[in-house]
Amino acid sequence: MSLDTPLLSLLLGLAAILAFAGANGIVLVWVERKVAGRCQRRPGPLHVGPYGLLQPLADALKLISKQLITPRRSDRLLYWGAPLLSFMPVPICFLPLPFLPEMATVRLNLGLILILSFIGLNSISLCLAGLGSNNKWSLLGAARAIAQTVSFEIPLLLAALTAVFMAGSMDLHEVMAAQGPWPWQWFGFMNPLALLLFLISAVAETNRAPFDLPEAESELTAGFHTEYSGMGFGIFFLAEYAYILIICGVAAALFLGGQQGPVAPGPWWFLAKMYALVLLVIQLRWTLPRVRFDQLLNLCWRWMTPAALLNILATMLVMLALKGA
Amino acid sequence: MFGAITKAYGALKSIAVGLGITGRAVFQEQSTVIYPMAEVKNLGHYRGHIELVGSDADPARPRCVACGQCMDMCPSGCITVETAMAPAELKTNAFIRAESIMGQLTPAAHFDVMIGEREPKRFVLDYSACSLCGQCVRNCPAGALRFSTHAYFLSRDRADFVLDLKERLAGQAEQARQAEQARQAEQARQASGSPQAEGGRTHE
Amino acid sequence: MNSAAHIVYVFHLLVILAGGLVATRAVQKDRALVGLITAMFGVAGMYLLMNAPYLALMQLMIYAGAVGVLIFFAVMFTRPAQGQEERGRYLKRPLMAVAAGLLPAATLAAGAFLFIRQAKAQAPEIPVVQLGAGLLGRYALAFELISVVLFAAMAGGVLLGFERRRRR
Repeated sequence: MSLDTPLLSLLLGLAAILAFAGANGIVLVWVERKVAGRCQRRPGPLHVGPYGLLQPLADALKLISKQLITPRRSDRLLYWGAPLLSFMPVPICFLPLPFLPEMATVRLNLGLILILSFIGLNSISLCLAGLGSNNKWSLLGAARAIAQTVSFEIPLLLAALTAVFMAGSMDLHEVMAAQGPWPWQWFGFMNPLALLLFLISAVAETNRAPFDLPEAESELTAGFHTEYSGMGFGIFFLAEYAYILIICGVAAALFLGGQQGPVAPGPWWFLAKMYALVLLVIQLRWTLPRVRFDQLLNLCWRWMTPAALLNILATMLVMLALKGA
Repeated sequence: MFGAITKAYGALKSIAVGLGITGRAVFQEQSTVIYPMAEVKNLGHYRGHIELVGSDADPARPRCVACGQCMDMCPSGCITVETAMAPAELKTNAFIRAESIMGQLTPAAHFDVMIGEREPKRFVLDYSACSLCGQCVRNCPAGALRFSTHAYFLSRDRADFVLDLKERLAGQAEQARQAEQARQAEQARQASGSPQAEGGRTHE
Repeated sequence: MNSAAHIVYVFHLLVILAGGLVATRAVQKDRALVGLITAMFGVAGMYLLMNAPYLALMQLMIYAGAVGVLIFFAVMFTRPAQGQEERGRYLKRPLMAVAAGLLPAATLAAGAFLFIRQAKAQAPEIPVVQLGAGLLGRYALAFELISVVLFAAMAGGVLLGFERRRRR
């Protein structure tokens, strides 16, 4: 059986993506806790392994070995379907990300739409978790998640659309190719407002602090995943980190030139930009306090959506003027 | 429109300032101490369980006059004092007034105790029942109680938290005496300035 | 059309039918909604099979991602007390449901067979640019009509909500 068999390469690709997502989740947990510690002038994880590097592995082992508890009056099907549904879109979302020029397993010319439409499915899984748990905290967390994701999807899409207009394609590879190697040739530099709107909406879409209202610990114990124990919670957690990575990768490709760089363009530029954005998102979490719910919706509907619309209009006008000139 | 832009600018600027603060904190020195490897140095503020204060003449002998006020005042009933007559040579003719703080409407009750007439035979604190309220310290007429700085106090056995404070005072006095002796010996060695001592130190 | 495409077609058909069945027959509203979303996934798969990936992804993003989630929102706050769900007479409702399903299916089938007649062996993928030009050019009227219908539905929903609140 040669390696060229479609089925085998499909399975290998899937395994590689899942391994990447899993390893990435473990490393990012360590980075998150280390950054949290250093931001608060504490050392962070320290004792398991050198610099506490093995701490997430120990935590993962703990999560795996814990008992899975189903609350008595919950809806078993929805309750256990939710974490699975939350992780299922992850491999699909990794497919169109421009890691390598040759690695586009499925070279979709709609890569961006593919990612954005499957990331939206995450909110369904939060709903299922909230409804299935039969718990008031979970229900409130799910209600918040819905209002939040449905609202912030609009500025997110509009901001992404701005870059799509500038590049004239929805394929992330082509958007990347439309930008130059130098920072002032990146869309994020040409149109900083779009980058800003995209980043804020991305943080809100992935339910990260300061927009972590669906799981606000101090208000809703743990929000939608209050009832989940062991790997039920672990999968939600893994999916959250995977989504952060995916959306930062999209931002890096759309606005920061992806693999383009002043010296030696290649995948390492993409990875460096993606992880720089991930670090920014992590540091934001430990810098800003959580917003109130009305502030969140005001921010979306009264500030970001009009700004995104105006921005897209201005971009179109500038592009028309440039075309005419 | 212009107001909106300045408002958004202010918000973004504040986010940047916050990121700057946390970003700088990442590279600053840590302000926490990791316990088993290092200990904090400001234990002077720590208010641990109570301990007896030694008298001026003999640090091993408590100042306590065995009036029993601490026992009466303790809301948790965790202090037990057994009294005995003090040795005759300690007896003075001075009295101190032990006052009980009563309610706002009830008068303060008081009685006088002769200093040096009696002393505690045993002074036992059940730390497992103590709530660290400090009523005993506040009401001791002789100033014989204070909070200790005994911070790292762990045990698996509940009986270890029943402390004989008189024994503890004796132990503390002994430790202080030895430390003083060592200090004096060191001073004497430095004063003589013998090269032997210098050499000995480098070999260590 | 080769046999693999047939298998995929049947699979999507089964998914749609099963989802629809769950959506109509489930006692709990949240499970019914899961059935509805499953059916939407099946429809998206059908679009993919017809070589219309843009439409398939939009189906997922708008129907499964946004509309489904909004219905969830409504379900969450309209939970009836246990055992209060309405249960009609058993024979009449399935019959009516079958009739309601057959009517649009028959209309569509008649239209397809009358006007198109010859199915294409493999549909060409239409680029997004052409789709946009079509929606804003040749089919602008239909496109705008759909938005008017949606607007009417939304306004009607809001009005009904106010009406019910006033009665209480």
